[in-house]
Amino acid sequence: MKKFSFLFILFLMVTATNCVFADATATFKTANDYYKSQDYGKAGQLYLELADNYGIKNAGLFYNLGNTFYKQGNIGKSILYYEKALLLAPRDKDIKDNLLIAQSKVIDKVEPTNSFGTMLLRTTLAYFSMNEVSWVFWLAAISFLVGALVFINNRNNHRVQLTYYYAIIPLFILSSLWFSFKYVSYSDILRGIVLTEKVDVRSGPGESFQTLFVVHEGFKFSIVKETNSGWTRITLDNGFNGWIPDNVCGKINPL
Amino acid sequence: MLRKIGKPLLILLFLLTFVGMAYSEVNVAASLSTDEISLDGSVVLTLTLEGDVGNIDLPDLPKLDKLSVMNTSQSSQFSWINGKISSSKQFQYTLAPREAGTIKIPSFQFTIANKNYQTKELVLKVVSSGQSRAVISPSSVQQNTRGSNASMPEVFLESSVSKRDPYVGEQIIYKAKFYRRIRIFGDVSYRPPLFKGFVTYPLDKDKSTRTYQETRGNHDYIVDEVRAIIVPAYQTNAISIDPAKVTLQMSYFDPAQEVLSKPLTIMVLPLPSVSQGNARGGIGDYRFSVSVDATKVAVGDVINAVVEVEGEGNVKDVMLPELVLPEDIKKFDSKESVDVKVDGDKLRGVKKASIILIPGVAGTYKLDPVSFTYFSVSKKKYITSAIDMPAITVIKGSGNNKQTADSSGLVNKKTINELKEDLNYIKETSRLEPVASFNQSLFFKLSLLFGISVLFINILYLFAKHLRYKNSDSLRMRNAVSKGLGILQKARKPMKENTPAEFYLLINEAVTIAVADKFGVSSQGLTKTEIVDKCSGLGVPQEVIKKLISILDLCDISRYGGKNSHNNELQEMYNETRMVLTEIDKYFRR
Repeated sequence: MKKFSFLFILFLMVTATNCVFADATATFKTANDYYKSQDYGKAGQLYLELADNYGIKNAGLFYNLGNTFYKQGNIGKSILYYEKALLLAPRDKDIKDNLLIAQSKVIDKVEPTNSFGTMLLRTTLAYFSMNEVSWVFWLAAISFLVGALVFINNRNNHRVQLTYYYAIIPLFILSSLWFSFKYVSYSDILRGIVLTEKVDVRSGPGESFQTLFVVHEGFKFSIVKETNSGWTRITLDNGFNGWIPDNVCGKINPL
Repeated sequence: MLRKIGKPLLILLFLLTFVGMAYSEVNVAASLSTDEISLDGSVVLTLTLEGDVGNIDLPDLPKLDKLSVMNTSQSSQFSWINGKISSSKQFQYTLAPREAGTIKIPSFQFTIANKNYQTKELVLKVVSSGQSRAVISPSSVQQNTRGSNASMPEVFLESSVSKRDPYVGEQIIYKAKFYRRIRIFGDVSYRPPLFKGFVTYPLDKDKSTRTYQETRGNHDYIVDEVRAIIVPAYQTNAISIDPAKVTLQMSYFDPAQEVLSKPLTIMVLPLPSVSQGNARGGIGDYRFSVSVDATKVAVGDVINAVVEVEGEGNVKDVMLPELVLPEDIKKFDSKESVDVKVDGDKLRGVKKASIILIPGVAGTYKLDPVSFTYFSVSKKKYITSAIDMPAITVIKGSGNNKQTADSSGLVNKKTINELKEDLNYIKETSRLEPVASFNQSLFFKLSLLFGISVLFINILYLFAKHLRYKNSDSLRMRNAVSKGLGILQKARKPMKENTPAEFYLLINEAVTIAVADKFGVSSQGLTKTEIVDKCSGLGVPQEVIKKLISILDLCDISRYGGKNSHNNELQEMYNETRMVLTEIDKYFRR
């Protein structure tokens, strides 16, 4: 009886999940049709519904959102969603092209002061998605665990020893490092986009503080510190930093 | 001889004696050929000096602000009437007004034989062109009169244009006519105006000049006509054309004289803006045609196309309409020809382009219609006409014909330029992953957790095992039969190769080591008696013990006696040894 109950619950869960995603797919297609008919407002609403209500985090969905916002003249949000899409599909040419077009409308430009090594690491990490790195790490971890089992139980086998020492363990260490860096850059190093036309970056978390510099819509920055006061501390690639209100910035990650 | 020349000599002496007496008085007078002229007309100012004039040069004109001097000439006369000698000199100035109104011509002042003379002031009324009462006649324009017949000069020059109010870019004909009714002995040279603000086009010599007879004012004149095509370039409103000039010599004795035509003023009209089509510079009235000599050809064959514009107007300046061709049909340089004729006051002609077309790829090509836009002078608006082009069928060629365009340039390669930048289209994927990345999935986490758990359990198990068999003797006893079976496994090879000596050696080793390890003694020096005693002590059945001893015996015989055995026997021995070792292990476990 217990066995049947478990199967019944599992069946209900699978059915419910399928219904939800069938509905999401239909909504996505409707949104695409609105986009085709150049009703970008309605298309954007449906895409946002999928992202917010259904919790769908998909490169195609974010890319389409970027397009609808761009077509409505909202450069900040279009860049925000292109950046989100690029996190999930970093080598997608369509996303890169459209992001470039949107970025060409951004007023601000900052020369990065990062070292060559930092740039190389950042570029390498950005080349692969978190998903891809996770798969590589998972395969390496599973290989490591299975290898460990085989190795422990066949300690006298020279071939097993060689394979384990010179292939599985280095692969696991490298993939772990790669995964760790990617995870940190993906989840811990937060990035944001200016969503309003113009923002005064102040020396402290409040309007009373001095304006240090001004950034404009679509500009990308790093988030140093989030507070509960409604202000976020940001830093630019050239080292400038300051505080901006929470409501003027869109966070690229975490998705 | 003296008598022959005596009389003339006396006359000459008489003349020389009385000349001074006869020339003692000088009369000076100035007059105009008319006192009222139109703005585009001209007037002749004549200064007459009678009496002892001597060798006076052409007097300078007083300052004339509103008049231009177009021509000057002079003539002399001597007469002896009733014993009185008289001489007169006439200086003529052809003047053209620069503006309308009343113009005062100041008096001439000059000195002859230390005596001052002065003419009276003259007044000339200049009216606008359309208001002139006077009919412009050769005598009132520019002329060079000779003798007293001033009403109709013997030579004069007249200029005219085919249209007084042309449009910018419209071709008009300028004519200069030189009238003469006397015989001219010297050279006659014609100098055209500068045509400032115009572009001139030369005509062929047989079209540009002609000579004919014309009657003007009851006189028959020989007329030398010179024509030129002129086009108002860019300037609109009034443009003046300078007078044309003819330089001639009436006789061997007369100095060279210049005859000028009157200046012309034309009103150039601007063209209206183009509302449709692409104007090709045509101003006039035209019709055009386009034709091809074949509509079905093979790849590489030649199609001759002819584009022709015919009509009245600036034929030379017309840009022929262009054929719009697909990329696969190559157009070679066209050969253009123009034939223009002056027909009365109009220019007529044909402009034609012969174009060679060579298709590079087989297929059916529908050519776009060809359109031509020009400004119709008669309708005063732009006219656009279009001609539909026939479809051209290109079939695959044979022999040397090319199937496709090659590197010889048959097809023009063009760089594709982006007309406008736009976003790439949306992604219509139907696969929507709920989770952004794999590392957040339950499977990722559970699988790793499971793997780590298995490993951990395995490590714990091995650790426990290690603790359990920490005493090496007990471990040795536990693994005794396994070790023996392992050695027995090695005996399979000599069994298959039918090498009994080696086989029995391994069998003996397997049994001895297994039993020795089980009893915790050294295999060296272990006797059969000890084996029987130990096994009996553990309760091993006698049957099994006997089998064990018989195996060891057979091994000894084989080792020391060189026993030959068949393969079946070896197999039987192998199975029996395995069975015995397994049985012994059971009793030890108990």
